[in-house]
Amino acid sequence: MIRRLARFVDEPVHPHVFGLVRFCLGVLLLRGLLPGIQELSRGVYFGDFFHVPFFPWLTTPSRSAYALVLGTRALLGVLVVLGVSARPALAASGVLGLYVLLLDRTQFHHNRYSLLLYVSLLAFAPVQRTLAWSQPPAPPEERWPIHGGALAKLQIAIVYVASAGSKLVDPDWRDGTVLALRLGTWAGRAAERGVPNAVVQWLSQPLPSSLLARGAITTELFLAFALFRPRLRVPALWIGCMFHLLIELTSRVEAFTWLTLAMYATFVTHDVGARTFHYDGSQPVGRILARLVRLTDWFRRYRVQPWRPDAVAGAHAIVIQRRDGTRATGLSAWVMAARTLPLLFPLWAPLALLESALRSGDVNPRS
Amino acid sequence: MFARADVVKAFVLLGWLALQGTLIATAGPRPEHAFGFRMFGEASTLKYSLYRVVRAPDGTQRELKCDEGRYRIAKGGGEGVAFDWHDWVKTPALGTFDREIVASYGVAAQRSRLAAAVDSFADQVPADRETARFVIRGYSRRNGGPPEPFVFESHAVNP
Repeated sequence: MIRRLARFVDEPVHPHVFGLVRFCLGVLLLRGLLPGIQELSRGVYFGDFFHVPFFPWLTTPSRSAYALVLGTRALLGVLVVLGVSARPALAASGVLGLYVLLLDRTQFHHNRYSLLLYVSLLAFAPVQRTLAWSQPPAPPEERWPIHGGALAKLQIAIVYVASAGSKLVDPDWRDGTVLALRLGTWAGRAAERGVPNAVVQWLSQPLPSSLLARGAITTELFLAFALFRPRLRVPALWIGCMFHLLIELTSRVEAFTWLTLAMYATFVTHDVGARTFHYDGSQPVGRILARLVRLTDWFRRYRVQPWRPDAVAGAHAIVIQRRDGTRATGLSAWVMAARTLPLLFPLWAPLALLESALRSGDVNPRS
Repeated sequence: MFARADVVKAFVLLGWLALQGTLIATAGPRPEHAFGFRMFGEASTLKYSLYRVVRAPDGTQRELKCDEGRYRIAKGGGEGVAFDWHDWVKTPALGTFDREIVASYGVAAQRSRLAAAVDSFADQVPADRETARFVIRGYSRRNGGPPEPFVFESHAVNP
């Protein structure tokens, strides 16, 4: 048991993905500081007005001390983004952020708390080695123990279990009442974001909202479990992405969607440069796609190369060589691209379903 | 035997789980269920008004409604002195009077904050020698249920 737990914390990972997550969290930290900075620049400081500290003994700093704290947090956020002294900057950001969070419970939000937890945990993960100012990219074979990253992944599951558990014990949640009312409240926002009003109205009906509520609870429990199962991980990530994008469309959750999606990156397979994207350099479409892959391959999974013409490549603008050496063209290549490139990932499930129906494009079908 | 480093790692992992488990399990009594990750826990609403209790010269007390959280007391025959709840309470959810609003983070969170806000507001009006105390009256509806009335009184103003 102890060895198993230690192995979970020692999992070897390539530092690129964690560098990317660190960058995203740095941006979210800076984004989260903006309202406070704007208020302070207008001469408004929450400590001068009604606020409720979590603990009576917690001293609210003076306006100038708070400005110093805010400035320090902004500087730490910049260091996190740039990857300069990234781990100490993450740790200090977490501590200072939690201190400010505890100063006023009227400003408490789950997403702010979650961000600070992830930031604190990633201070103990291999985040400093890549996407960092003055650091060359880590070579594909480089591996570091995941350490705090394992706890950050676990924290994602904890959030899902806690959220689902609280809904399960609440009869108003189970029977769809809460969801129906919330959908009614946020119908205007959903309409603004392109969700047809008729859809929202229909979902607010007792039966659909009850099914939707049970679906939400099941989804959260499924995600908490499936993200850690290799065979279920990719479908779980896709379902999770859709789940959070749907919440983003229909509710106001500050940065929670983007925070969770950024943290999902900690679950991707760490295989830098394990695939090759071959393109036909003589065709404009091939060159454009190659450029797009270079721009959107945030996990550095592809080596992008013009191919040497062969029998397979003749009729295709692109050929993708998978990790196992098999090659895919046409729809199979698009499925592979959607599975591995974050911006195309929402298309993965529909394309994979279509591919399985058509069974096309696999040059070397795997057994 | 286990390597010492492995034991430390397992201990840290289990410690983190225990810490989070404790925070989640004890979130119930905290009004906003802080640190419990109870996402979208309620779809409740509330509506409230601010009143001030003034003493008449004959010693009796009466309640006067403060429209939109504002009121004015007569002073020296001029326009008097104006007081505004929003000068002290900046949180929009705690300063939206006479309208049913969404109870962000649940009824318990908003009720507890309103109770604290009205009490602290009593300390913010030293120039008011007329008001004895402030009262917030309202009701909340938990997840669309029937109205549940509440009353929060401040401590004495300028005792």
